[in-house]
Amino acid sequence: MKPLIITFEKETIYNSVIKQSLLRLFSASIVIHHKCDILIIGKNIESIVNQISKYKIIDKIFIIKLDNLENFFIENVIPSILNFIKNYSHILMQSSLYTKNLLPRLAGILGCSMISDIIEIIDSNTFRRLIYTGNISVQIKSLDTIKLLSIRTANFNTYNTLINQDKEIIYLNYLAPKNYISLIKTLHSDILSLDNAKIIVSGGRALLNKENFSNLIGGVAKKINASIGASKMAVDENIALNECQIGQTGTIVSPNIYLAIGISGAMQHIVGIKNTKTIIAINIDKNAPIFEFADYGLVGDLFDIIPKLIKIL
Amino acid sequence: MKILVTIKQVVDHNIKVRAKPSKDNVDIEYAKMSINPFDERAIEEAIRLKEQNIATEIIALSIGSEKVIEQLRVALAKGVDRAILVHSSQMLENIYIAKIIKQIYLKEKPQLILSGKQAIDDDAMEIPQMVAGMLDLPQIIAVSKLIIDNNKVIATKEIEQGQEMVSVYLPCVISTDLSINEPRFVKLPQLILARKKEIEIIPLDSLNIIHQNLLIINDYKDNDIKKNCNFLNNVEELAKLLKNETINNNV
Repeated sequence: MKPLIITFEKETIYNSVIKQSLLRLFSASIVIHHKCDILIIGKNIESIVNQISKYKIIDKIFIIKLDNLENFFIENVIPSILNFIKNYSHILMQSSLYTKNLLPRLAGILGCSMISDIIEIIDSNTFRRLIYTGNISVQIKSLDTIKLLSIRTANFNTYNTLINQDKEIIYLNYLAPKNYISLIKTLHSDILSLDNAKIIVSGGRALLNKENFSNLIGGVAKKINASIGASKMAVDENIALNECQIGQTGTIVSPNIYLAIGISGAMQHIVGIKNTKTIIAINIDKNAPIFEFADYGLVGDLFDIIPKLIKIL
Repeated sequence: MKILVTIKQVVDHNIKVRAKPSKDNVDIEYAKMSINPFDERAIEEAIRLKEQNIATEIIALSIGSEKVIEQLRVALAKGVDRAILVHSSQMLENIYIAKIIKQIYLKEKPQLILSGKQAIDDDAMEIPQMVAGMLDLPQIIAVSKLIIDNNKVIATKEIEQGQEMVSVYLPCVISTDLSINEPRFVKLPQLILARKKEIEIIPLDSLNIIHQNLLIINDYKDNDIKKNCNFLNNVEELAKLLKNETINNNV
């Protein structure tokens, strides 16, 4: 049986181009079966359908077109897909705070388990995920008829196999649910998204206060066009914004470069940056755990180093 | 307004957990156990609502062996009115836990189910949503601020790029983010008084829930991911490295 990938507009495209994370989701799916169907939900998605159809793994493309994204919550799509998904053995979605609103609720309605934040797919029934704040990995074999899977896409490579072939495109009806939840307002952050970031500069508790964080971390980030991240400690102490948090209980990132400034390297943070290509750490303590996970390190006082660095860059 | 707070007993967050050499579980036999920090926030939020005269009764629910009673006593000491233990010594899957919570909800009929957004042992962030789905109740997850006025809930929830402020009517399911509040400490006199309070113990079998375990969990491994660090000598070398790397990895 074929898997179904479910994706929403904002997870699918960025500046009119398919997101890397979706291509990583394809790589996850191919371990289960050589083909998959995809369901795309959103408002302005016609342009993306064209791009998606070029990938060899994609069999059928289903679309739920929404007239209005305002006051739309991801779980609103459930009435429209509840019967449709029963045709599939596996349902795959990217793992994110957004998708956490959908898959577990669906599992509750179907009365089945789900497997969250999968870091490895061994075969169509066997998956691996992290527990205990990333300290331990565990294997889970599922005997469920429908396997609901959220995939930690940072742990998979991008799928790039293209094919010149027309794909069947089918529109599904959107059945609006009872309107439970109303949106009052959205408070957006100015900061660049972490999910897709290629370069991230991150600060820890050692920055001591918001002003330092903004001047020093912000200063470096501006020079190298990086997104800004923070350790859980920094967020807890109100030195950095909650949405900057990187780690097991924050965002999991997979940039090319991760510059960790004044971050000691607690396991729950390391788990969040494990898939970085090059980790560079700056810390005053040469024995800080972060140096065990970094590719490059500089031991020294960040209040000395960072202003100098900003000047040179 | 009646609130049902669901709490989980977990290994204390200060303890570094390792896999057993046999790989069939984690080594936590002698570990100190505590209330899941996210659930502590849920308890605290419920108590604050009672102090504001919005909540009239708070029930703490937990599921597991007799060891869990200790955590329910802490909840009672903090100010929860009643405590229920659904007793089982088995390892229970998350969907099974959700089914149990559903049964207790149908029995107690609270206006609000409050839970921590995730447990620090399995980090799944699934159960509150599963329960909401089963009961067809609205769900708001990762809530950092909660206001309840009569039947209306106004909640600020954390999202990927900031926050959303939403409103919904009771009954609903809410899961709390760590940032929602700072849990109060329990004083010894309160703990001692709490020992006199009764804890309702319900055997799992008596709930007549139909469930088949379909997940097989094994091969627990320590997640060790170490590298050899190249130490740089000065800021100039760091700047050079960054310039090279950013050119090579042009976005």
